[in-house]
Amino acid sequence: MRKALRTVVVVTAVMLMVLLAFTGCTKYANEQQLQALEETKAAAQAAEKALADCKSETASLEGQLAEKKQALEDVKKEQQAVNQRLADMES
Amino acid sequence: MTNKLVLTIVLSLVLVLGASLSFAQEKMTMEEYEKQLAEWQTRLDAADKGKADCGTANEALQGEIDAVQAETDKVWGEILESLGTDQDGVDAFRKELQAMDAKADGLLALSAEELFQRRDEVEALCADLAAAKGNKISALTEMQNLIAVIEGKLAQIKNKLPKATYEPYTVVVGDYLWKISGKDEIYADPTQWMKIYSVNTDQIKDPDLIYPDWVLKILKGGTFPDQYIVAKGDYLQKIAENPEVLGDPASWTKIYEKNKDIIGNDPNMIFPHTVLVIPKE
Repeated sequence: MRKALRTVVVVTAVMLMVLLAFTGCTKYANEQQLQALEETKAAAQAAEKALADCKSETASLEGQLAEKKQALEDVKKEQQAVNQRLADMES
Repeated sequence: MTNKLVLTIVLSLVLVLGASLSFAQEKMTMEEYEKQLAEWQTRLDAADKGKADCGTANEALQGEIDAVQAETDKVWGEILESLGTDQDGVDAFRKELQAMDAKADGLLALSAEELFQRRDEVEALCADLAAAKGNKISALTEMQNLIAVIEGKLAQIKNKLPKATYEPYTVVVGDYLWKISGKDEIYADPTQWMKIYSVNTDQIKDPDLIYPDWVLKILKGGTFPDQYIVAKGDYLQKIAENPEVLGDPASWTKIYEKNKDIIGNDPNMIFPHTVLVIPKE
């Protein structure tokens, strides 16, 4: 019984040593670095959202421009028609 | 004994491995951190550049929109100048046409008889529309369309109006009602003399006595809404029963009372071609 207990203690100790050896060799990011990463991530996401909004506004402006151009064409045609009708009224 | 030993070792291993994994999951390795930081930084830079380019493009687009709008305003200003008016004048003219359109709708909803009674309004509307067509503002396409709509409604109103008219005829020496009725330009049928007599009772007291230079009314184009021309086989009850007259045979007395001067004392004796005036209910 005593022998078994000793074996357990030894095995556990060995495994803890192995674990400490592994974890001790790996470098981890500290709190400050993680905070900086989060800030960069938030800034990038905000910038991407602003870019999407801007592109949406571009699409809206392009639509408005197309409408305005059409309105200009229409008013030019109207001008021709009105001039013709006025000439007909006078003759 | 050996089994207990093995079980104990396995349990110890599980505990140690679990603790190890838990520790590893909570922490971010430097390698992962640097990779993620670089990735987010790249995305941030790309978005910032895109935003700048997009802003410039939008400013250019807004400038183009403003320029096109200014050009449109200029052309519209030229149109108004050629019409000799301003935007307020155009708006007022549009309102005028819309009021005419509403008036036409109101008239169109009337029955033929009501329309006949309000034919002065129809004529006034025609005159107003003719005047509007003479206004330079009517040269605008929008106004042309509105005018076309009103003209269409007026055409329907005129179609609905009774076509009957009175044409004048001046009596000459040697004329008598039978002879006048037989003339081609009158009815080309002497038996219709009652038609002439019954619409001229204000002048003719005796159908055998008419005088030269009298101007008689000759009913043409059917009847007016308040008139009925007696046909062969008609009697007052039958006429009163007609749904287009009174729709009630018992109301024949109303017709008789209204036309007593033409019918005479015997309501059972009415002659074909007599023009009766139908009383309003």
